[in-house]
Amino acid sequence: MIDPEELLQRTGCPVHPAYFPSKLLWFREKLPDVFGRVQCVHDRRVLPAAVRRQRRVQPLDGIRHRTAEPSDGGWDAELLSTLGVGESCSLPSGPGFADPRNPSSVRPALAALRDAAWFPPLSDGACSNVGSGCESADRIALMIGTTGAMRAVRPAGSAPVPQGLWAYRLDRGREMVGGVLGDGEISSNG
Amino acid sequence: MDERRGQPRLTLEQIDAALLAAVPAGHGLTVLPFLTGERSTGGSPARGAVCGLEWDTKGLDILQAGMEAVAYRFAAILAALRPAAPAARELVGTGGALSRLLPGDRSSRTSWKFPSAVPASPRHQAEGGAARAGIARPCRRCRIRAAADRTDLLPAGRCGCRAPLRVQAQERLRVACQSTKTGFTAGSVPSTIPASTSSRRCRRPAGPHLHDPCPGPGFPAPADRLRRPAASCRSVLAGHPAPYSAPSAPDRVVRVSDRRIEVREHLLKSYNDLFHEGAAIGAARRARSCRNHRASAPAEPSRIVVVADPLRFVDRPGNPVPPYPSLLLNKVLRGDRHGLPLADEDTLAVQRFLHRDPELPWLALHAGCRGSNRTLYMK
Repeated sequence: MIDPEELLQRTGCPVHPAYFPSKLLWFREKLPDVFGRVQCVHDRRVLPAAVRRQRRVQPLDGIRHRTAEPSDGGWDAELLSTLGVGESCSLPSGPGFADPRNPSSVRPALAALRDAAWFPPLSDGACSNVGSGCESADRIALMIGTTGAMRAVRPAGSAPVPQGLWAYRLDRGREMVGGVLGDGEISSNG
Repeated sequence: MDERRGQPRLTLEQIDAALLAAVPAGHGLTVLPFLTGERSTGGSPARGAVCGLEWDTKGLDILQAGMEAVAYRFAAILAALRPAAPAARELVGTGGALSRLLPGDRSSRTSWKFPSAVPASPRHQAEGGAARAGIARPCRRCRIRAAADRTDLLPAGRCGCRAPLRVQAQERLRVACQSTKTGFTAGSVPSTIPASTSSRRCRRPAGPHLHDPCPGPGFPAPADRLRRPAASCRSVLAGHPAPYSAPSAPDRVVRVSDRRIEVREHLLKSYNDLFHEGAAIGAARRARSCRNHRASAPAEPSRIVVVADPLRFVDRPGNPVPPYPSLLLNKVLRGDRHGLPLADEDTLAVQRFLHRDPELPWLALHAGCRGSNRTLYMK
């Protein structure tokens, strides 16, 4: 059994049906046949990686260690074992992942895009904070869209993840910590 | 258009103004905004709920309660986030829904009294992605480009183009939020309930339900979260997050205008304060509207913060009264108020607001109402 609190501190992701580990578990239990045939795990946020020759893409936030770089592996072995997802389903660590200077990694079928630069998938929450000027520790971003979230940037690993919130890395020196409300748009739909 | 009635719906601005004029948490409703489940901060399997519906409940009450509930949850997240980000001093508002919540220019947005609510560029997420990817900060003027292999982020406002507007607006809001909180007026509850409350006789028996926002048979004994009253965006995001304002003397009275408004600055210190406030207002409102419940009003009026008169509340210096371009008298008398019938007492309240005269006497008006003549008696 995984201790939810320990897992939160290791990965920054709470045990919750909204996040990837729980979805994988649900998938494995409800659709075991399909799950057994899966060669790679990704979702819409890793599309740029999925169209590359590299067939192995990364399981997303919630499985990586909280201390891992966004473009690194750093998978939580205990969680991967619990989920039944081997590390072969994840991308190798290192700069080879979605290297924008390596257009030859794009599939031949997408030759028209061979000159395009490819980048690792970025968290929309991180982009929202950065774009609204909340990439420093003195500002908290309150975002109310389809969902709602409140996020702050702080030095990576500077403090434990508060209970009920989550945290993930923004870059090598900083992490984002915050919480989310699944129904932010209630406030504007009337 | 409201297809069922063939009448135009209230605009967002009109709804906005109506909500501004409403008593914060004065609807007696408790809403859990978990239509897709709770994520932060509890992560429970709870789903959405609206508790406390009564005969007097209006559509705008439910809307207000829903908005307040969302704001309340954000206050909970903020309370949990604050110790984890002790250096944070500003709150920046972003997102499409928040932009729609704060219509108009920045001056009108300031009236919402968010600690620092400045909808950033509508492209903030794309710009953040571009900056995060190290491509460039999209800037029409200076077109700064970063090296493609850069992994760190560009500093905020480095290009100098978006920063001035953002900084100025944020500074205005920051200053505003360090001054007077909101136009809450202190006073004893029974005497400060707006006159627009209904006098319809209540059919509910007196009992503990006045303080119990979730009395349904399917609910267990209300947990703290269920008992929390919804609080308005203003009270939660302006009054509650004390970390954004320097500690001040408790409960001081501030005279903010010459319109007989006295504002007691009241920093809500805990959810219990909000609960007592909301429960007391709701109970007092019911006590006023239901004479047989008058004795059930809570006995802690000194801790209660209510708006004495919403007509005066919105019309104070520095907070221009939003226009009512389409909420005309004839429409009001036809009952066009967010698609719901408008009670006579509310009609008077709206008329008083439209005439900018809180003392507007009651009149007897003859008006066409849905194809038939109707006389509205306003004593």
